[in-house]
Amino acid sequence: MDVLEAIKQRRSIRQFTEQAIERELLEQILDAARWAPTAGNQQRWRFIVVTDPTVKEMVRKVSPGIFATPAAFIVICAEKAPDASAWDEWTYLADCAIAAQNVMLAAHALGLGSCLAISYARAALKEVLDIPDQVKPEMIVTLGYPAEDPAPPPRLPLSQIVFADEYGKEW
Amino acid sequence: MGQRMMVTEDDVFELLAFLVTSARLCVDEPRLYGTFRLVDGASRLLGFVLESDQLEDEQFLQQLKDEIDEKKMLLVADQEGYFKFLDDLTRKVARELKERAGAAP
Repeated sequence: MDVLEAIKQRRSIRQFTEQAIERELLEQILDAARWAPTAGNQQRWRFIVVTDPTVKEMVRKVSPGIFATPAAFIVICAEKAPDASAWDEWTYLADCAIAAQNVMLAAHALGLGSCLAISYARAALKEVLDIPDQVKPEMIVTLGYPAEDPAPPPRLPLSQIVFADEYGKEW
Repeated sequence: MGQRMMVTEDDVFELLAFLVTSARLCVDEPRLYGTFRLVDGASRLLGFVLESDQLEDEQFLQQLKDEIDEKKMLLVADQEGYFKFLDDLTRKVARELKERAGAAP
């Protein structure tokens, strides 16, 4: 699938079938994630793939923003450097977000649905997944075979969000 | 009506986890998300009650749950529509309370 096509066709999928995701597909998705750019090539993201039914249920229960249990969760974490500054932490968040987009586009290209979630209780999630102190779960991507086909949400026109050379000047 | 209903221990823990994690999220999330968590929680509660199959008349609660599940996402797509949905929801619950009060012995 063409990248531009995948970008435009991808939707946030919140309802999934019960079909499991083949490990080979998960590996392709995770491989796409690790090819995402990171600030200074620091690659401090870590990915927890949750497919065990019991663990998935616990993750869902501490995540009020996730409404249905998918075939898999990919919990994208940042492993902080021991001397991480506020700036470093900001780059971790950006890096994880870019990796998440790679995950979602790769998933779409492979026929899977996905949705990004940040509405979970971090302390609870860390407890459920035994995440160490220096590792912060930045976001969760839900993955599964889609059980819905939502219409594209409206997008602002370029004329409203793109400026030429200075803010507010028509492009 | 008026009988104490039984819910399973799993239901209690599911709702407990939802409520306490939502409480924490409300500290950081946009203000209106809190209203969403509350109506979503109401839907989840109704789900447990309806699954328990102990209701004498489940029609009202089933319709209420269906309406919440259908319209709660208006929050992100149509905020005015979402506010109207909340008004309608509270009005319906109030009407049901009145009817039940009138029907009480």
